[in-house]
Amino acid sequence: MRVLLVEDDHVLGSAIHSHIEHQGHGVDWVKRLDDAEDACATQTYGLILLDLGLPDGRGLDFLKQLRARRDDTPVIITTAQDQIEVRIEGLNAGADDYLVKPFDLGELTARLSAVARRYSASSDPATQIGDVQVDLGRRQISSNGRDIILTSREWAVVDCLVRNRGAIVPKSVIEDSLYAFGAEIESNAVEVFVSRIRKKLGRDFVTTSRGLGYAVAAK
Amino acid sequence: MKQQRSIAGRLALILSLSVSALWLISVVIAAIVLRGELNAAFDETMRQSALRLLPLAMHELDEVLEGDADDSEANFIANLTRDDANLDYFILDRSNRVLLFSGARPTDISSGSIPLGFSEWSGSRAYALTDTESGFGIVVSERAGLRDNILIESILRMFLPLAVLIPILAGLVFVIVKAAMAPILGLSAAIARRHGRNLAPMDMGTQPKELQPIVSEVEDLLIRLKSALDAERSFAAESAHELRTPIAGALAQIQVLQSKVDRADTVQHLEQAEEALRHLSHLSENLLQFSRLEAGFASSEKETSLGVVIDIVLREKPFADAADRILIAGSENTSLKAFITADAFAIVLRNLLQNALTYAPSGTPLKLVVEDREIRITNECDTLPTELLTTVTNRYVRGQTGHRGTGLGLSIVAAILRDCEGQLELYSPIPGQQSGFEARVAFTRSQQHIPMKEGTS
Repeated sequence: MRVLLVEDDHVLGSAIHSHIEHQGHGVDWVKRLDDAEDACATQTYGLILLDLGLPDGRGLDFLKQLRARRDDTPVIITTAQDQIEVRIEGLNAGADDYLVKPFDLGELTARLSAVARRYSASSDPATQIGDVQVDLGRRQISSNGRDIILTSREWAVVDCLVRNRGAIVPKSVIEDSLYAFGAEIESNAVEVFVSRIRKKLGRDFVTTSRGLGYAVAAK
Repeated sequence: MKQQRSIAGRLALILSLSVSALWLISVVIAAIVLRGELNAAFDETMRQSALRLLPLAMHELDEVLEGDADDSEANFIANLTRDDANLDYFILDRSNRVLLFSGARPTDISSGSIPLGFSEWSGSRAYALTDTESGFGIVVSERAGLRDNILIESILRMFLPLAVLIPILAGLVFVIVKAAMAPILGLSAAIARRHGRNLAPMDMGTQPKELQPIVSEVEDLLIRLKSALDAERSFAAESAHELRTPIAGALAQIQVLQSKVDRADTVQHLEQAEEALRHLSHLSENLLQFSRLEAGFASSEKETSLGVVIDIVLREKPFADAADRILIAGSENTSLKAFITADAFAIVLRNLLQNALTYAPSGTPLKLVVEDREIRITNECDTLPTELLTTVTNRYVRGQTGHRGTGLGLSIVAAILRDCEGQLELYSPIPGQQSGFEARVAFTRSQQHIPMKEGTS
């Protein structure tokens, strides 16, 4: 999943960026609302982490504009403002969740997964696909009862495919989930990661549709 | 509390006493003047009486002495006497023998015993006059105490109007002062309605010129106070942002580091740093809550529906994680409302739930009971000492467990509830049980309530 992080504090932003990336998501980090506008105009995101107090305006205004143009990208507000009225205003403006700073990165991961699940094909965090049991929320995967360790990039590919299971996911979408803006990617990176996943989870876990993309079975 | 007298009552009393005192002084002065005038008038009357009576008496005596009358006996002038006569007189010859008299026969008459002119004789005022040619003399005497009686009667008559007028005057003064003070009472009521949450300008219309400077000064004061409180609230809110963000950054960086290091000793150090940061975070949070409390954020002028606040707080991480332990109960159709801001109630609920989670044995249930005007939060634990229950709402007092709380949670709850006229009651054991702890929050302020200023009752 590709995540847009809108956070002007460098220390917190870099930690969140590192954490989410470590979880296997692609992250674009911007520190201003106008940069966030530009990012949304050129890229489709699986989720936006939005700070409210930004140097060039209120995050809530950005959220309202986003919803006004019928963009239903999931948004989690991350802010130091804990007033109930602000929370209600944020949720009424179209936020999917609200995290008050300081928060655990583990909590951020759980909220992020919960929100992403609500928008994915399946709302079930634990999914059985053939012999493979995938728990996206807990980042656990097992094959025939044996726990499998995946790297963060491998997780990003699995996450993207499982969230859209039963459907063919274009290679470009998987690439977007893998890397943030500016990151160097090899032209055959997706093929490499799919190959590694097949080695760990079995050949049949991921099917290839030539010229179209990749898919995992619905069940 | 000692009841304070109204200004109108005090003015009525002071004015009445002052008028009475002035009247008294006037009466005393009048009495002194009257006494002098009475003396002069009565003396003149006695002198005139003597001057008129002596020739008449001499003529009468000439006739008597020419006749066969027994001259050895004084003649009593019975037809001239009355029981209530104020003046008596008697006629004397050269040898001080009484020839005629009115009233009682005079005694103790000896040569030279009655000086000519005015004198005090036998306890009475007397006037003696002698005709140098005939040798006859007359003594006119006044009834003893006559002048004093008249003087006292006059003074009493002067006091009578005072006795009637003073109560009337007091009542009139009270009514007039009350009416005159109506603008002051209006101003007082307008000021009494101002407090931390209501610093709106006073629309006082046209005021007497004596009050204009006060109204103007109070208006200026309200503006300055509102500005100061707004600045304080703004500062508290900004402080929250300025403090929470770097703490969040440091905590997040430590958590990222924890996920990247394998060495046990380094992990332990990072865990300790994380724990210290969490404690700092809680402490700063509590201090920020105190600072917001100082800025008067807790009490609300209108009733707030608190159900949604309960839902939001229960979705926060520590309570969402313990969702299977938190049992929520309450009457059907309960609608908890109170004159408290949503944020203040969230802090109350958060601190009480956190307190219950901190001190309840792991895995034991907590109970949150929600009623129309109160909430109760109970948790299992050993019975707390009574002295701890009485001091646990003081700052930096902690329970008797190894948990590292800030020691501020319950004191913040108590302070918030004091500010919005709610009550915090703590019980251990839980009423009707052998152990446990119950925190009961009751919102007692009613719709009609008008907040009172400090120092009034």
